[in-house]
Amino acid sequence: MNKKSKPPKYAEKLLVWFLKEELAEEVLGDLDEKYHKTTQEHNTQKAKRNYWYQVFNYLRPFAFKSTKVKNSISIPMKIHFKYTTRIFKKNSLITLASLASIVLGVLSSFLIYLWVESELTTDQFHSHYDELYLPMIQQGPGDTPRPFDVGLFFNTDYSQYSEVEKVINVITLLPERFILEYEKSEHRTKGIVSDSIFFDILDFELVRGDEATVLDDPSNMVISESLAKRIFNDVNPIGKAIKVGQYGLYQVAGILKDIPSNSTITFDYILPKHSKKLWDTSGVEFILVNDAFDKAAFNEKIKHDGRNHFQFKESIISVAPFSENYFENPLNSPLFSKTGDRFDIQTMILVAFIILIISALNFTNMQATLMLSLRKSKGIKKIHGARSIDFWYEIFSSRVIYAVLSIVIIFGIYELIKSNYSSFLSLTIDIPWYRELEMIVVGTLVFIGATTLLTVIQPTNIRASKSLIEKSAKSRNMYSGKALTTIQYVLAIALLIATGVVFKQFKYMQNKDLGFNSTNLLSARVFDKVIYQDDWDAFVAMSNEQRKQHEFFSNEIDKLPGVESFTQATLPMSKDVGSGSWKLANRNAEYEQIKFLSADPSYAKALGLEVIKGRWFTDSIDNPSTQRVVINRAAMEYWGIEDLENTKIASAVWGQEKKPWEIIGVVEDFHYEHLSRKIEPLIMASFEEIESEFTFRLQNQNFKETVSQISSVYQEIYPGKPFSYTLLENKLLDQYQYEKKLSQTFLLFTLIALMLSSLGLFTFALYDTQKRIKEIGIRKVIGASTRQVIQLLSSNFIKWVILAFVIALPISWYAMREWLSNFANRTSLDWRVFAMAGGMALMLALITVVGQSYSAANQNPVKALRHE
Amino acid sequence: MKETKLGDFEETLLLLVGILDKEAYAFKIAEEFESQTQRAVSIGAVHSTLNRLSEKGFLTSEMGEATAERGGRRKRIYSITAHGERVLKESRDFKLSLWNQYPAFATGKLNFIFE
Repeated sequence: MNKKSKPPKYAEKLLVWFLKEELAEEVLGDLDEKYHKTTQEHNTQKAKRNYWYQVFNYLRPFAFKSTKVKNSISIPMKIHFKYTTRIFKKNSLITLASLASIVLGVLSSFLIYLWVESELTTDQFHSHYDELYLPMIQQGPGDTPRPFDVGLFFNTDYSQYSEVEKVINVITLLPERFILEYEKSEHRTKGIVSDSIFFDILDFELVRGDEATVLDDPSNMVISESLAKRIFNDVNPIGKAIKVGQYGLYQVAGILKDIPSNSTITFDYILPKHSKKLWDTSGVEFILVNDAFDKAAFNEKIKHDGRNHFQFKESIISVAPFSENYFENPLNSPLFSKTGDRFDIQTMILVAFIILIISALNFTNMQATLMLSLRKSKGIKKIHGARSIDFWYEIFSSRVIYAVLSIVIIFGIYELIKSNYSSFLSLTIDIPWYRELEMIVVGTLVFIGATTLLTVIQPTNIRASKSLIEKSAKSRNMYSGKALTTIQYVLAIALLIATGVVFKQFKYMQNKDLGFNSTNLLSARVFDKVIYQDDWDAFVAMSNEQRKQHEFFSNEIDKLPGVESFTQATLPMSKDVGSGSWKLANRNAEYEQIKFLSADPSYAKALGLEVIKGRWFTDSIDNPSTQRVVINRAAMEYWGIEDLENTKIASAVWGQEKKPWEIIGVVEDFHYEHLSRKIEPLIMASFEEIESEFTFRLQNQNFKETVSQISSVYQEIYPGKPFSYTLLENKLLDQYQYEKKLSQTFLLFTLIALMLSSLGLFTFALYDTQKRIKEIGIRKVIGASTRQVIQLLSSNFIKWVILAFVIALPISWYAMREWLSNFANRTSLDWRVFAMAGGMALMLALITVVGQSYSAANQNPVKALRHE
Repeated sequence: MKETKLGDFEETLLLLVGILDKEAYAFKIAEEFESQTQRAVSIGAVHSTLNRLSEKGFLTSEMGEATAERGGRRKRIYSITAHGERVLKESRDFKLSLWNQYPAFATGKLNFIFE
């Protein structure tokens, strides 16, 4: 026997803590014996486990210490708790309403906090968040800087700069260009190519595989958990080979934890950069800097690095901080898939704040009402010798009960709705539950503490005799209660008006005439770009083959009667609308950034654009080499062009002043960008690109038939491959998903605010009518009708709601005018929105109060007079 | 008045107390129970039942001597009271009378081996 081995200390402590003292000796002895026996027969580990098991099995009623209270302070506390519970039960309506105020107030602001927190900490999970910079290029004085692979193009050697620690290169593989294939299943998703030290610089987590070495082997790849699920279902993906577009096979060697919602960088797979000598697209660079780094000084050093390259004679190189990417200074690269808006965040914080105020006022108000109804009992207690500390204990015990109940409820509801909420806002909530609980506890305690301070100011100094004599409720407290309810209504009505305007604006954006016809437009990607892979002959052969297929496909589609026209160009609302430096030729002006879109001869017809001057591109002769463009009305007005024949424009990149471009036509303005933006001047040129997406305009009749015809043409080129397409209308709706979600969230929280206010009014009305029950009885005895009594009681409240509306009107009008000024295309501030909000609030108030008054007025007056 | 019915587990424990005689304390009883029935039981469960049996007046107990392996702590030795013995006997008689009313058993068709 191992003499040194002893039973686990903590188990023993636990046992002694709960066990009756008189049992301790025998039980500890028995357990010791058991322990030593198990040690002998098995091992110490098992004995320790068994000891714990035995201790837990002593958690039986007979063995517990008696719970009789020993210290003197807890006896009065117990009485207070008993008293409070009785009050709660007797005033269950007020208790429930108070509880609802805490729960809704704290829960709503907690939910909003989660979203705001996630937005504000975007990208900050990277430990080098502040130390990462992206090299940028500005091609000419009028060009906007964009992230650029400076190392690749200009052979910049970062190792000569002591302030630069590490450099990585990240190339984005767009889903529309690369297909992942595994055993006949095909998947399109965004991926990246990067260096093997990728995980040293950006803190994405692997659930399987070693971050330091996983990208070392050029045949390895890393895929995300969700992609692994999509491709392999439940099969272990490690070691399986996936074909990545034309790049060939890669072996899955690591599984990436899904990228959290607060990451601007998104991707589903990574390929090691050294697995190919050349990648046909260039990416962006991340440089990791140390303390010695000074942005201005560094920019000065690398400023002219691009000038040796024949294409970039005027370029300026600089670096932009990664940390400003989300809000201040969004970087234009397909690697980054979202940008934040501080304005939205502020709006949400404001909403949370308003809800908090409403619910706090509500709680305070109801507690004050409750106190008021308890004045008599307070007076009697004082006469019996209660000290003021006793009233404090009373308040304390009631708040403890509220706190415990609401924390349990809030946490319960939160756990229930968490997954719905996070998927609705596509939010990754990656907080351990005890942290969540901790935040809820702190929030609730602060809420209760603050509101209690508000309530507590009055009660203890009412003189006992006074409170007993005074019968009518005409005290200052009643008045302040009404004022608080009014403030609540002001806020709720203002929120309601705001929601109305937000919805109206959203509707407006959805229904606005886009300037082109978006119905029956179907788009699909048919050809992928042929990639040059160190073998010129193979490249030429593949390109020729694809050209033939393209010709075949176009001809076949042309023959289909259901296809009115088709185009291969950049669609409106897609993110590919670029920009270039242009100016009027022969004019003494600087080059400016003008939006640029590539189109083709059938573009105008397919989209239904209206040509208002000149003509559209007619055939392939109208291409960039003949330097012909079409502009929109905004551009025409911007430059003040009246005569197309005599006006030419110059491009900073192509030809400049010496070879200006001809404007062959002008089209009516159409929305080629998100509707939150104004229609800006636009230049279109006709390009012929085989790999561009096809967009077909179909006839309304035989729609389905035509789709299947296109699909069978497609399958003649790609036998057995399913034809996948998107409808432009759906794509447009997708564009407004964000706005839609935001306005829905807004509506939800507004309804909560309104509900809280009504709840406050309801309890308030209830207590007020109860106080006046004798008055009502007398009135009825004298001969008042039920209707008159209802009128009397309701008007008392309704006038406060009307006052609230009058106050809310100018506030919300001003606020919403400011809000709308953020939009380029905005709806008007309609009086009907205001009327509707006011009407709705009034209606709710009426229902609440009239219902209350009705039951009061309908009572038998004899009963009412006997009351008390 | 306390419940004086005897449950199955209670009855077994009562018998074990009788069997173990001077060694009848919670740990030993639990061990004996495990070795006789091949069923696991925690000391706490045994202790709880012994406590209940004492309350019903079937058992009495007194503190015994201390041993080294108990860390010098004394043990509580249980012994059956006269009342306990009577209840045990009643329980056995009751079951025997039930067995005797069972026709297959009474006519000797059930093949039990009694040693």
